[in-house]
Amino acid sequence: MPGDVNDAAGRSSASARRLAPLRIESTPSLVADRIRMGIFDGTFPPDSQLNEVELARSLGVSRGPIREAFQRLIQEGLLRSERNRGVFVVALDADSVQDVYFVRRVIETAAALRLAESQDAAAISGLEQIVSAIGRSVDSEWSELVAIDLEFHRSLVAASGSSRLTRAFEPMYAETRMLLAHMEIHYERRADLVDEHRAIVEAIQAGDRKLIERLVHGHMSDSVTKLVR
Amino acid sequence: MTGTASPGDPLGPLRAQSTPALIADLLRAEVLVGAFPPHSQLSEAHLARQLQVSRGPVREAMQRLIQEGLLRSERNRGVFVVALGHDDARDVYLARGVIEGAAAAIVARQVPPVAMLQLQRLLDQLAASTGGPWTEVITHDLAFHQALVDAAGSLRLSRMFHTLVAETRLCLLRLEPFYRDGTEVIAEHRGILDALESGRPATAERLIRLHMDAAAARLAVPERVTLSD
Repeated sequence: MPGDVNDAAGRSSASARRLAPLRIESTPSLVADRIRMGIFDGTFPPDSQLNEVELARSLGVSRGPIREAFQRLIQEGLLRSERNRGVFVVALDADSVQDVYFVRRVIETAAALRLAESQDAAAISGLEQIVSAIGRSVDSEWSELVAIDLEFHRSLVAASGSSRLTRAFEPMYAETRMLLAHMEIHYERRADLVDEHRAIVEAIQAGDRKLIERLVHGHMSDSVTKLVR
Repeated sequence: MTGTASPGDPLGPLRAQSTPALIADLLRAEVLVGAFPPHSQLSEAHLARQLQVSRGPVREAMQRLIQEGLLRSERNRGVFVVALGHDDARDVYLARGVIEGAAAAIVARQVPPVAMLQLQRLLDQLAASTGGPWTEVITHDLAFHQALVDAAGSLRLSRMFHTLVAETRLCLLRLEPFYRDGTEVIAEHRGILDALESGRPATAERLIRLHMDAAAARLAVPERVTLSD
């Protein structure tokens, strides 16, 4: 557990050197990762309450890091705090769904337009590789397919060249994963995912601004229609 | 945990404002006014003693500021106030350019009347503040940009912008020598507002980008300017 890593690092410089890479992540961020995964895989369903004491016990850490992890996840929009009641997994309502996809549309469009201008070859070939990976994953577990799909969008934003933008945008993908976790689409529609993403890459390569805007918009509003019913 | 518990508050895992959050606010304010200069070391034990709290919440608060990019942790050495380098400044302004450019395009399409009035008022205040204390100019400058992003009407977009505010302030602290008379900075903001009011999304987005590029370029000038400390 994370606590042991800290202890070991403090005790002996030899083992600290060996264990060093693990310390890059602090205990709160490791705890946050665990809880985030639990939310995505349904261990903590929407509206369920998270118990600080229980989590501290089961993860073998003190309550401080748990509280700090809660704060981060509240910041990311995955948890909400209710005064005098506790901390709960959010249930995203229709407005939230609209907002997630609104932000994704405007930011990803902006990122795609910049990439169309820069024609950064490495970034574009990275996107092409992810499209191929989506193609290879149409038979995979739904959560796997969702993860690869989101990898495409993450790379698109990362192509802006700003690590801070990429980081600030991370919560949108956390929320999208949450939304898509229970939205497994029909098998025959999965192949469309490849075409939709490929079309975006081609529009970027062609430098066609109007087409980029239309495709990203279409890609997002399609999801909103499916999710808000 | 001490401090903010309200009467009748049971053992709710989180309070509205936890001790680490209070400490984080305090430290953040100190860093942002330059009370802890870049590269200076923060001692957990010393701060805990000064604030009369245990070390746990101080550590959590520091983690939070590391997350925000105001402090950095050096293995085996301790926690230091960041000194934003040229690459960091470029990254901050790149991220802001994408976020605010996207917001500006939306606002220019909708031209929401109340938000327009507010932006005009904030620009007047910014203009009136030039020549006064630089930290106030910074506050007004950021208020204008915050209002611009908020005018796009998206909770999540505003949240993303918020993650960049602290570092932007650090960058702006260094921009003082370039903005002494304020004419240029007011003209840039005025141009953006005009484009928004006249409903020209592409122009608004381009001007935002130029505004950010200009700031990043000013910061990239080799540091012939002596910093205040």
